[in-house]
Amino acid sequence: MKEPIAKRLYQWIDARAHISPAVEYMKNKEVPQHRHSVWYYFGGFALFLLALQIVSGVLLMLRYEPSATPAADPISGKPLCMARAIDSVVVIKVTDSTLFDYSLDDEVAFTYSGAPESGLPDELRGKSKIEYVIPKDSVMIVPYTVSADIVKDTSQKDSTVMAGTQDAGEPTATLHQTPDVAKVILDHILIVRDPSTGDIIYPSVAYVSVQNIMTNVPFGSFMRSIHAYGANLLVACVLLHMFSVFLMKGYRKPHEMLWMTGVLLLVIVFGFGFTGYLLPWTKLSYFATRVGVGYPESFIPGIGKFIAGIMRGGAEVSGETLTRMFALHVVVLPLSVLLFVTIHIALLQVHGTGNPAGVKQTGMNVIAAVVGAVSLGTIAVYRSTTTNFDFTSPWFIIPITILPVVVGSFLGQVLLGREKSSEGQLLPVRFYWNFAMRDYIVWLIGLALLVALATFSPWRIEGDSGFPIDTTKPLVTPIGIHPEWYFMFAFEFLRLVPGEIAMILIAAGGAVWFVIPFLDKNSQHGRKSSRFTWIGIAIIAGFLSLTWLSYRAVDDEFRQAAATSHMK
Amino acid sequence: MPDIFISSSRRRILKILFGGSLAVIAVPTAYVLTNFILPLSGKIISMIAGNAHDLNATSSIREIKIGMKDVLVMRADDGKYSAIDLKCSHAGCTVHWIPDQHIFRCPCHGGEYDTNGSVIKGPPPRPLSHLQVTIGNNGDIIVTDLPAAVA
Repeated sequence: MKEPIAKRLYQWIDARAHISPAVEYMKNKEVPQHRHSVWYYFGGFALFLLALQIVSGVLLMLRYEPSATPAADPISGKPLCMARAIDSVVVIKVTDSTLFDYSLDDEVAFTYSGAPESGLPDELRGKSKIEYVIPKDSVMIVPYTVSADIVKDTSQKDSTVMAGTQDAGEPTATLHQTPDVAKVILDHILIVRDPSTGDIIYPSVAYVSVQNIMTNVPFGSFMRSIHAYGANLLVACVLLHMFSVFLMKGYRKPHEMLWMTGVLLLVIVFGFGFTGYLLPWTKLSYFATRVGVGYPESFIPGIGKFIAGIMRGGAEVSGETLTRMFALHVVVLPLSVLLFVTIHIALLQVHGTGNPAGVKQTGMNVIAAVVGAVSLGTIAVYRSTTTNFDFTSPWFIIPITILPVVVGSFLGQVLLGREKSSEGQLLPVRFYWNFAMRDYIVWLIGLALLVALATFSPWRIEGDSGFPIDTTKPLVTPIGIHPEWYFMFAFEFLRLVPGEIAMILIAAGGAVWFVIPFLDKNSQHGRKSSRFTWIGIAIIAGFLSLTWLSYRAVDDEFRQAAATSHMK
Repeated sequence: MPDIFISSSRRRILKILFGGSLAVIAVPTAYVLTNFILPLSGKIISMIAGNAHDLNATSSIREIKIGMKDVLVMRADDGKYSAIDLKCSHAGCTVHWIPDQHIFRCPCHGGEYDTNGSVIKGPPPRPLSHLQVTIGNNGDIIVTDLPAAVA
């Protein structure tokens, strides 16, 4: 009887590529079990999240347009602007052919308040079906058409511009509604003006393409939210992975190169976050990039300006910057991350995961489980009360997903026990397929978390910062502007420490962090290294405190701005 | 190195759970991916190509763009309007209207069509498509991006 096809294929490849020594070696891969072995999941989880980011990123790239030029309606060529509905409008299609005033399949628009049906005249009730509604206060992107006769523009900050039809004789393009419906809608929308400057906002092609993804594309909002939340989760996972490896001295011989490639990967992941943030071309994107590039420019003597110029593609952040950041985000950084992740994982396969020095192969991390459960529960309850028990808030979804995992896995180990040797030592777990299956479960939970977040809390930038940016207009920095949470520690550090010194300290700190394996002599020789454990704890505490302080400073900005506006 | 052996029945259950969970995830994922990637179907576009009075007087031909399509609106001698999609059925080039010979000619491979869009000669496999034309109450010539039967 012939052997199964998979086995024959393996033998065919092996005869030509000699993969069996490596494969046989890998079959013996094991993961040690001890009090702190729960942290071993985070490396694989980071890999999974990276793959998810690549898949969602490629999909988004099919719809995203990386251009900062003001967007125009492709059919009419008119510039697009932002408008807000000041009344609710319902658009219906007539389904009855016997009506006097209307023909079958006519599309008609009416305003309403309360239920959409209340806006319909009696003769259309039950004889039409609702095509769509435009609820009051919803924001839309519309072509800005103005006819000289019927422009009505008051000098107040909120002004109404009535859109007219084109000059008679030219074809009029109506993309989404018939001319009659368009006229009704245009009567009930207000052109949105920038809250800070009062200018009409002409969003960029990039911004409009993102809004198209969020509103028009099937599962667009879902995919974008997966990518945005996924990015944050990836950074959190990478940080947890790095700090847990540090505390367990996973950088000691023979894993020094693992550590160094890991630090490079951290820089690359931060690079992804920084470059990706600019792409929606909102105010937040723009100013975050301005600050991020501005620091090297101001405080790195000599070549600082040069580096900043290359990053920006000019003296200021502009459309050039968007193009460069896009290229970095979708080509340069992905190639780099793939290269270094491959090296990182290949190196790991050679030596496997080692036991941290001085940690016995017994015990469960009771303290971690309790602390984890209590803090997650507290976040869920506390944040829920402050958001009026909004169960769709990420502050609720995240703890409520992780909490059962923490409690469940802990209870599972208590009740079912873990395999022990005759001397009571926890046995290592074979990677294939025992630990791999556990990895898979963690990945499923992570995916579930992201899907829940994307479904119940689509990604949104609140307030002024989420407005599109138009670099042809004067710019006003939004109050309380700040980078994403994982950059906040640096944000605060740069606020507390004067510029040039801060740059030197950051560079020095990064260099020291990179060569930690060679500084920790005790770990190099396989001995316990409590000093470096305390150093690690101090660094983590520093990171958390700086982050917390920076959010307090942002709150202060808001308070100060509110106070000064009251004094006027 | 101590080995941990799982009983074959437990292994089977684990395999089923693994495969099953992959299937449960794969199906909605494929659905999401497919819907995301597929081109968006836009709303049906209607355009006003002018007014019957203009077309009577000046010329009986007008070329318009409706959505992404190049369309020729023609008024025949008997007064009927037709809107012909100028996309050659051979490889998709936009055909030229040759007024002197009253034919459409495709510059890419030499295909020729008559005023109705039927193939006279050359490689095109099918006639040119027609779009729906209706005349509004005030004489507006309304072209809709929907297929119309050839009279």
